Amino acid sequence: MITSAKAALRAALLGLALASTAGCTSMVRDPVPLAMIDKASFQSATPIRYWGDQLPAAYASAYRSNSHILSLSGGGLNGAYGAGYLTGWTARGTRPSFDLVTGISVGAMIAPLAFLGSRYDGRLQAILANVGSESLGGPGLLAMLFGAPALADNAVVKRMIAEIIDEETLAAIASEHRKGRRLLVGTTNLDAERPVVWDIGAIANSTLPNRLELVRQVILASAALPGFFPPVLIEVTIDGKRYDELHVDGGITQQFVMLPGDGQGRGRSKSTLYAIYNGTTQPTPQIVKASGLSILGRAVPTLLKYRDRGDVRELENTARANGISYHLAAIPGGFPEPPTRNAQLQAWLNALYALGFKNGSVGNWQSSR
Amino acid sequence: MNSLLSKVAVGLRLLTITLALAAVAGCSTFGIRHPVPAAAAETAALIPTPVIRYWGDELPKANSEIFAGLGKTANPKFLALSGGGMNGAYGAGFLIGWTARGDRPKFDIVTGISIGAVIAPMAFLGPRYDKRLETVFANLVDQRAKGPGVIAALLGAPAIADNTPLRAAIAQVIDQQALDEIAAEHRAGRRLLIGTTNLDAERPVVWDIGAIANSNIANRLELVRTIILASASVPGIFTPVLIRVNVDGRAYDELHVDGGVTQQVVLLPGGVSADLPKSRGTLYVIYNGTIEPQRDAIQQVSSVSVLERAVPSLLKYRGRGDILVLEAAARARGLKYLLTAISADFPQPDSLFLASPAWLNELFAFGYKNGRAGIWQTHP
Repeated sequence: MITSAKAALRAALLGLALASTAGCTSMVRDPVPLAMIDKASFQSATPIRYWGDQLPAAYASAYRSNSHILSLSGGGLNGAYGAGYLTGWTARGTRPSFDLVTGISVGAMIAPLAFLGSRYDGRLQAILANVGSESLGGPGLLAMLFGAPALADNAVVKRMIAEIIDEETLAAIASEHRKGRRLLVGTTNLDAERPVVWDIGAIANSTLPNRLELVRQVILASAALPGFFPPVLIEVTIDGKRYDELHVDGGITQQFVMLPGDGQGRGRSKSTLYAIYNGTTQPTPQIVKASGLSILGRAVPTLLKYRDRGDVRELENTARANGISYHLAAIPGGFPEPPTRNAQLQAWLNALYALGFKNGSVGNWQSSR
Repeated sequence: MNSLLSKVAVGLRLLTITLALAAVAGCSTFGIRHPVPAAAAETAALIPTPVIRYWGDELPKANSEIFAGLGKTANPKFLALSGGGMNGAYGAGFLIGWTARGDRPKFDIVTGISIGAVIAPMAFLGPRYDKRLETVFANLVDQRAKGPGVIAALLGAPAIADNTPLRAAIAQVIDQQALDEIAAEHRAGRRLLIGTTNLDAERPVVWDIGAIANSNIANRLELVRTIILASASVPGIFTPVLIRVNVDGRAYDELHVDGGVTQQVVLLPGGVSADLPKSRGTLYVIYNGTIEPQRDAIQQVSSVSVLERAVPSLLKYRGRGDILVLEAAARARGLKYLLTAISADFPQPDSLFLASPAWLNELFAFGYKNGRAGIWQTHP
């Protein structure tokens, strides 16, 4: 009886959807055959990406010198905190030029500007602290139920990414890459069910004709929260034939790009890992009503918070295993949740950005070791 | 057909989550709560002494009995049983296969989360309880969860599945005799720990089941059953569990759900800390799930199809993260670390909660085979 009710509901909604398919785009796929997943490549002379759980040890060389590593987590709108923290750090006057910058999701949007240095702080603020003024239009909940690829249109995010990565910043990233600095962004290859780490500097420095578009696509994929934003199809080649891979938010598999553990037991190095977590690691006590929606509305963010805490711990373990110093910045517990009304969103973002700026400008880390 | 329906169920469940996240409030609520005031969360107690529970994310502050007795053993053996819903058939099969192999040790500490919490008491009491373990699983496999359904959940009912079969299974696991035996083992220095999530506090809780069994709490049998039920109460699927506590002589309730919401495996409250003596012990982890990636290309791209793939992937990587953190900590304390999990090539069920009896029996047999062969891995 319950199942027939479900089927009836589905049928009714399907009818509605068919009656109003306007605005719903469909994605036609030519997926990489499962057995060939490891063979997918780009027409680039140098490697531009790796499995995120098998990052080459070469990236660990950063640990050996006197280097500065910045890791930026996902966290959606909470990214205003990280953007604020970085600009505050500039104001403090001690922000280093990072030898390695990594980013996931909203962290992947911040990462290129953080990589290029304090000169780009103005752009960082203009882009990441003003999302609230743009309402995220989209096909909406009903369309999503009946087959639209996502709840929200990603046009706004696309536009933001186009402002972050233009011909000028791409050339600047390529030039820094040639000096040995590295910029990495993480996505999730959902066909392979594995994290992927993209060497953005290597793409920028390549001869790929579509390198500008590819970098933008990778960042868009990194921030493509499943169900909310459409997934991103990335074109690859196997034996001269074209296929696509389906990529979504890097945060599905890891909230930080996990660095290779090659340095185990190598003793202390003078390097430092700065991690900016765009979220709160601390518990937020709150009385929960015993209804299905309030239980889930509470349990899902709790699960995600503890998942992220695990990733933070793992990052910390990596730092320890490599003998490098570690500093973590995160949103202090007690900062209010994002408002549900669009009208209040900009004020909330401003407050979060200001809090990040304040903490960055006084060098306030949540934990250090 | 079954597969389609379960997919619809998953889709609707995901919609429920989305709705909940969008803060569209439910219309009606079930039970009336008397929640612990937030400021009193630290002092809430069932009884003043002994200490029967700990926050799972910090080291025990005082009076910890957990470590007492560990010093006596040169090579302590720890067993951690993860959550994983009906995938617990793997762990149950593995333990029984391990008995058949003949080298299953007597564990000094056994911990369980969710379905692992249902298995843990029997794993703790030893191979004599293998028969019961098998019966409990056979009964769970035979039962089909019934309940008010997804639409009721959307409208505010606390859950979509009836927890009666689960309660019956737990009552079968823990009877008065098992409780008394757990108490005796506790006095001998062994420990049985179960994790839940206190959703009001948004923190993991680790319960010392042996200390409860060994206490003079009047309703200790019921309390132990309630804790195991809470540990296995997946939010949105099963009703949350209200646990009565006292603050300054006044009665309140705490709302507990699946321990897996905060951690999929647990060893000790606060992790494996420096308090744990460096030892030549061994930590065995039975992970009731698959850790390795499983390839599967989405052909029809839609929100529902992407979410159906992405949500289990997220949960998989979350479990993997929990294991990696536990592994790093165990190694740092000098423990030998051994892990078993369901291999990626084992066929997946249609749905975690509607898995067919045939599939569950196959999984049990697969676990038995691995346990009997002593197949362990040392790293995910």
